[in-house]
Amino acid sequence: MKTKISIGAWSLKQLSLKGKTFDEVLEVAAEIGPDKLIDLMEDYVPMHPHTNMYELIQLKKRINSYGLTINSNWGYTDLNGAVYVDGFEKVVNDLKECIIVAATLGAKYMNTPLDSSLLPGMKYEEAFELYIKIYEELIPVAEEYNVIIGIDTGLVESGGFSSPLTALKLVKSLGSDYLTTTPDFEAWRRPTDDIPKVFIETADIEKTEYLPVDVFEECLPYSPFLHAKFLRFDEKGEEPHFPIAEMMSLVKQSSREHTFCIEYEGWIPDLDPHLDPVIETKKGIDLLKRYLG
Amino acid sequence: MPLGTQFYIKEGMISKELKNVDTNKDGKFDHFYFSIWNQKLHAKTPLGNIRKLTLRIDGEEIESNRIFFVVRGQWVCIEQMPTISEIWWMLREEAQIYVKQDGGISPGIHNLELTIENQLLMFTRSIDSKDIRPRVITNLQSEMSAV
Repeated sequence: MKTKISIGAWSLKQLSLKGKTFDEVLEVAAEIGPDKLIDLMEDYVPMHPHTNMYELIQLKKRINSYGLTINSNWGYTDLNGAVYVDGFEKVVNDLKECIIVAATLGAKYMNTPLDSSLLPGMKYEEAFELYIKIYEELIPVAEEYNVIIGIDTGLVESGGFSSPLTALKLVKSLGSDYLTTTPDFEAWRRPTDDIPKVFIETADIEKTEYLPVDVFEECLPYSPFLHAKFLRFDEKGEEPHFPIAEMMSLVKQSSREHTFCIEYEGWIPDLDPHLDPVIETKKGIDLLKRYLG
Repeated sequence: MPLGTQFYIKEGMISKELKNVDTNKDGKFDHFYFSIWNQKLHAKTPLGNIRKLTLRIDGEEIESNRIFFVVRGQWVCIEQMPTISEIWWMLREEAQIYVKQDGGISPGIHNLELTIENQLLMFTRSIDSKDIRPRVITNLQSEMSAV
């Protein structure tokens, strides 16, 4: 088992929202990132409303000038909703563009979250078939551009669509090395009173469920890339909301290489916005290194 | 998918001043405005992501046809804003909210209440024109001085 650690731009997003420049964010990522990898998100990428190829290439050069390699770009979710509003072809073409954007950035992965509740009257099977059709269109493009699609979700909807279990089922159904799961630690977090019980997008539903570690183990052979979400560390540098020891023990036994994206999220207004996200992100790195050796 | 209930970092999101302006250069104030910065956690979105915006000043609601969202010099009346998919508001980008008012606003301190309703059809280029998803409502309040 070999592992790498990448810095999710999400971990440092508070710096940008409070007025730091993107160069300052890159300086931090280059300084603390043990493998000099960074995971981008669309806020930093000139891809909306239309991709600007010149700016995209300049962005890649700028990031590389800090000694960083772009591991992934992230974007596009709620495919159920987007297809309903704008149609299948438009959404598929947008996703193909996302793959080509990732390729142009030199990224290995294009991560697209599964977070997409069923529409009123929509059955699980119907949504599943829609996603199969979408990924059947995307896989040849991913192969052509040598970008691996990662399906990410941290949600656990009981009997619902948005779950790593659905991502796993999609990946197994299509059987391509270019379609993988990106397990997000969030799906294995045990709800506690010290952490908000709702997500912004589902503010009317309290998180009460989490997945057993067995599901994490089942995901690993299909998961070259993982989202290591962290919320709040204790005084020993542990993250007690997640079964880290059990999960990392499984990673150590895994036969494939894995890259972790550090997604420290404690900076959000409802958690610990007063803490330094750089220090907290480093705690996440140290924690993984401690467990993975 | 972030935890919690807050879509924006509210602190420092709106300016503290209301400024009178003479947009048609006829020597009389015809609008006033304040600045707003995009501090949404997932920031980069089309203007149409904002499904509704309401503004009250000193307790009085401003008619929507008098409110304009201005980004990079492009004026969009908020009544039409939900239709805009090709103008995007970027991370930490400053925009201005203009209110059409003959003579501008009187000098002094005014209480401003701004409500923004964002769509939850997120991280796509789509705007939720069919209202298929719920909305997230953000309330901002500030004492502003008119100059």
